[in-house]
Amino acid sequence: MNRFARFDRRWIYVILVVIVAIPLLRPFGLPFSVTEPTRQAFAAVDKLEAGDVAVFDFGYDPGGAAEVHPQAEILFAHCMMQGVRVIAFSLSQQGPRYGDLVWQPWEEKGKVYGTDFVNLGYFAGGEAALASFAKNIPGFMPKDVHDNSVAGMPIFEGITTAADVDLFISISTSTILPFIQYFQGPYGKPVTGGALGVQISRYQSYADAGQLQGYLGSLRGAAEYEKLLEVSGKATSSMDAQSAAHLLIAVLIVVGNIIDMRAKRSGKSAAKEV
Amino acid sequence: MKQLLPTVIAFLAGFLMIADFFFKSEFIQSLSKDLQGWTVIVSAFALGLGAVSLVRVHARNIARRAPGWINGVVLLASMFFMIVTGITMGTKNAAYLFAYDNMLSPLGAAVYASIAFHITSASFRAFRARNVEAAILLASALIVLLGRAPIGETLAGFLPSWADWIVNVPNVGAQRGIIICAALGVMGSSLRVLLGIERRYLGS
Repeated sequence: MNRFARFDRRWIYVILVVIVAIPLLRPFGLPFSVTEPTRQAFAAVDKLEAGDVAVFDFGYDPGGAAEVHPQAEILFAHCMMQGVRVIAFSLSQQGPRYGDLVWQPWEEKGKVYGTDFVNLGYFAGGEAALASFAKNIPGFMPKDVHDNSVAGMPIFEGITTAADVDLFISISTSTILPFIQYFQGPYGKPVTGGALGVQISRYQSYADAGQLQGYLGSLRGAAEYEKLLEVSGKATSSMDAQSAAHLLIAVLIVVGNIIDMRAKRSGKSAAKEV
Repeated sequence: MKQLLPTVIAFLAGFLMIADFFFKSEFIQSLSKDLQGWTVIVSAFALGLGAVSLVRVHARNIARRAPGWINGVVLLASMFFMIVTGITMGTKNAAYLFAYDNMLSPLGAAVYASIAFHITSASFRAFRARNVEAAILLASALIVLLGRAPIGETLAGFLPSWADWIVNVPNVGAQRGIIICAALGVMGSSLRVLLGIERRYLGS
């Protein structure tokens, strides 16, 4: 045990930095397969047609953005490629900025704000806000995140309640389950989304039950989606760095246990000799 | 009366929401819509209340030169800067965006990223197979850890399918049990609140 206590953990930090930096600077391009939840999420977006409407929640803040923002980027890109209208909001106070960030490149490509996309900003009230929004989508927020009046925006044509929406997408670092509760349950509408790697074990049950049309788990989920969409984005280029970090952790666990076991054995034999 | 009135309000509000879920009555739907609108407004006020509370706590610490008071100065200055620029100039102005993109965003990411260092250090120092249960847990963790990263597929082709099995079979089974139990618990405790049996939220 003393050996562990004496070991300076800063060496581990240095090894981690080096091992993550190398593949970021010079990617290996390790191959990876696409998991079923990602295929389901892809299929849910892919079957939308031009003019359909998706509601998109940017439910994360800068802390979790490194892991889930690439998911939002690729899902949003797929919606835009399909010609889907996207009504965005955020259940996180710091989330609306990410809506603007994913929109920016598409505006430069000729998409029109108010017709193809609207960012309604932060929704205070959590689940109560979702329930209220579901009943009156165009009237829930009279102004968007940039203080523009939403009345008369073409994006809301034919949209009154959640029943008129074709797909709900929640990218969230807290939970995507309220979307099932307020949109899938009462209105029977498909829900998909993305989450942190540590959260996805909760969502598989809902995917199995058909309440969730798949999900993107962590950066890997975003990379798999990029692969399906045949786009090489941030997530794909980060996969090698993630692999290196995972391998280092696995090696450290094994080495740590071997050292621990050997120390225990030598302790026992020393006790026998005494 | 101090206890009865809030209990009656909670009862009516709670059952209105339940009725709204199960019955398609225009009257009930209109009432519940108004009530949900009020909840959103109250929640927005709660944010303001949180900001006031934050100012009071940190202003007191700064005035008393309590340990770490300088952090309070940074916090309040940052908070007021974001509030003032955001409200007066809008969320698209350069100052607001500069602070968000170049300060808040990297700081948030840095705090989250620091977890990677703690996990890596803990993997060497703390994750021990001390008994059979811990060994099974550790083996599962290793399989999922490697099976969910491209390196696992490269090193051993069977790892992803093993990782999927762990996530889709034992994990889902356990999760379902937890979800169903939690749902039953929420139903029970909600009924206690609605029927006025549970009144701790009133301070009693």
